[in-house]
Amino acid sequence: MKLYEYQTKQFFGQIKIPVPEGILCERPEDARLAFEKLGGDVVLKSQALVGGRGKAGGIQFPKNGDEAYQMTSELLSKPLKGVQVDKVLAEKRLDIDKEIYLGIITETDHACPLLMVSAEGGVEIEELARTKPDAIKRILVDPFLGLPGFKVRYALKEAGIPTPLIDPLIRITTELYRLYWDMDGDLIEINPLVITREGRLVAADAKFNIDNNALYRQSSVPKPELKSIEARAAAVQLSFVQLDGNIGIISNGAGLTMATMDHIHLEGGRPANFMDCGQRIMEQGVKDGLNFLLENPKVNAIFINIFAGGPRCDVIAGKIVEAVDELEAQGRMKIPIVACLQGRFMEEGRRILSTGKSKMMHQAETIEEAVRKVIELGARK
Amino acid sequence: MSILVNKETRVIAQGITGNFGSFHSQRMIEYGTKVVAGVTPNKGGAMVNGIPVYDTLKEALKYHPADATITFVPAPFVKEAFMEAIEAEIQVIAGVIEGMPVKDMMVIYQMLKGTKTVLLGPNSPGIITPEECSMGFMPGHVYKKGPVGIVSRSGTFSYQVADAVTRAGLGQSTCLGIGGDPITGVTFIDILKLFQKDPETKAILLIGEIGRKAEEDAAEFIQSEVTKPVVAIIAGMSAPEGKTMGHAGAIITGGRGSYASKVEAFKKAKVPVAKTTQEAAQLVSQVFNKD
Repeated sequence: MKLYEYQTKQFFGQIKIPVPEGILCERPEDARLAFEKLGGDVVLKSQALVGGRGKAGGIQFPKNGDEAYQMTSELLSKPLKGVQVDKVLAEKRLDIDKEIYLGIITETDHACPLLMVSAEGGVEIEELARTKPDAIKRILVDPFLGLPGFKVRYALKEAGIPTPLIDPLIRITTELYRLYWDMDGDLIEINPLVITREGRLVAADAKFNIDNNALYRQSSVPKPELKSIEARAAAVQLSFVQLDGNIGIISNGAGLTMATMDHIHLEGGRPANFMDCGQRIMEQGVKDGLNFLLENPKVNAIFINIFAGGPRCDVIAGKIVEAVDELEAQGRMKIPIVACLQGRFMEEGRRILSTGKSKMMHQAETIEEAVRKVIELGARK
Repeated sequence: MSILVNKETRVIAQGITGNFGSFHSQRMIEYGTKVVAGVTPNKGGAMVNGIPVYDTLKEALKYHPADATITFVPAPFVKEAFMEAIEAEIQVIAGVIEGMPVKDMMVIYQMLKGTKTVLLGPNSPGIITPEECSMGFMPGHVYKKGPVGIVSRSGTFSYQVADAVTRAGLGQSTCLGIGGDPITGVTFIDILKLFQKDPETKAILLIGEIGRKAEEDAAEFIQSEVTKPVVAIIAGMSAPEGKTMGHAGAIITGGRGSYASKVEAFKKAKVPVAKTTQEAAQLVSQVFNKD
């Protein structure tokens, strides 16, 4: 789960990592007041979980209170890179001398945290890694031993950080690591960490991603917003990713769902989504899944591809028939569905599937046949 | 022969008393797996599916020596269950639970270093040596004893591929999942080493997916160390960048872990890459038809 900049900065405040003086605005009027309160010289930052926020126009520099009002009104009224913005963070501008990069990520190849430091902050770390890989100093952290100060000192010295800043930076890095570790971080980043002209260190921007698997034990993390269709699907244990094609997919198992997408892609079709029903395939997974798929007007044919290892095809077929017939009765089942059931109790499953009332329901015995059929039906619409 | 588990393997089910544990341990017993005991704290003395339950793994092992455990415990307690099994020097752990916090797995990964324990998963479908031992979710009926070793990052997809291999008239020596999480106890390489040494395994089928660099590492290893024929299939050819495709480990970031990079690595290692399940089964069949 990704936290917003303002949320991350609240956590920074608790552990005394300096952040710019700021006020969170939910209405244009808040921004006018914030402008005055912060004494002018303010930056307005859209709170949106997208990359390249500045380039997309999500960061503005008002010259007066009225402009702060105007700009905030605009930032709140139109989506930024497709994402609705609900909050704008007004911050006192910093007098920047230098920008540093400081980040900790979970490095999965070595199965441990990785600290990254660079004296050339301000650009995206992926970009820096491509253009100037040597400018990033990396330290793998032993999860048992934690991050000792001397290792941070090595990295900071190698990165060419001026001596007077080293001890304060060790303190910030140590606190940042503690926050990452205690809160089950997946990534925590200060970029840029600004050195002001007076020589102060301030976290100008902040990113913090928390491991979804650990949210159950992180009570201080705000509840995820159910803005996107992905988040709403996740809330009912369906793993969903929106794509831009026309063939909706429902499957069980992440690997099989990807393989199903691939097969459609290979035959010249275009998948509209990834949807793995997982364990819920034996319950209401298909029904919930169909409802999410039908939200997308681009979807004009649906492919249900099931391989039942533990689950049973007969039970799943019953759930499919029930869901489709219900949608049919509501007058909502207007696009064809092709189902391919393989695995346990497959013959019985196929028989049950053929008892469905909806004319939209088709089935195929092999995935090859099913893929051809669904692409053909989708093209006909 | 086979790898890691066979008909002699004695298995303890950690977390046997829950719905999940009792359902799957019953299926394992039906398959013929020697499930000798179960463990659930504070449920010692109970019986599940005719299997005695103990409070701790240590107690269970005192009365029922075992080689392997399968962990059915809920994700928040998996770290403890793994630690208990590693400390007891269990040879194979089937970590079938999904949703283990990555931080917990970082600690387990360090703890595993220098031990002889092989940890499959977390988020693994388990392991099966057909007609001998099944430890996990694999649907027994699709497998048949034979010469193909299958190692996979996914569950359901590997069942479908194994099914196609069986239908092609071949069978499997052992099939297992290394796990769909970002950090797993074993890698493809650990399993390739075992298949290479196993006389019964004549060909290896590797089922990868986008994300991580386990496939790239495997390809490099195959090129230098594996003399047996290998066929690969990789899920996620059509997956976009920056999106987690179901498995927490299946994400392409900054060009890393892409389908193209994996195909390129296998090409370099002269490992044919199938595009579909059918093609994977055909490529494996060709290995045997050449002889």
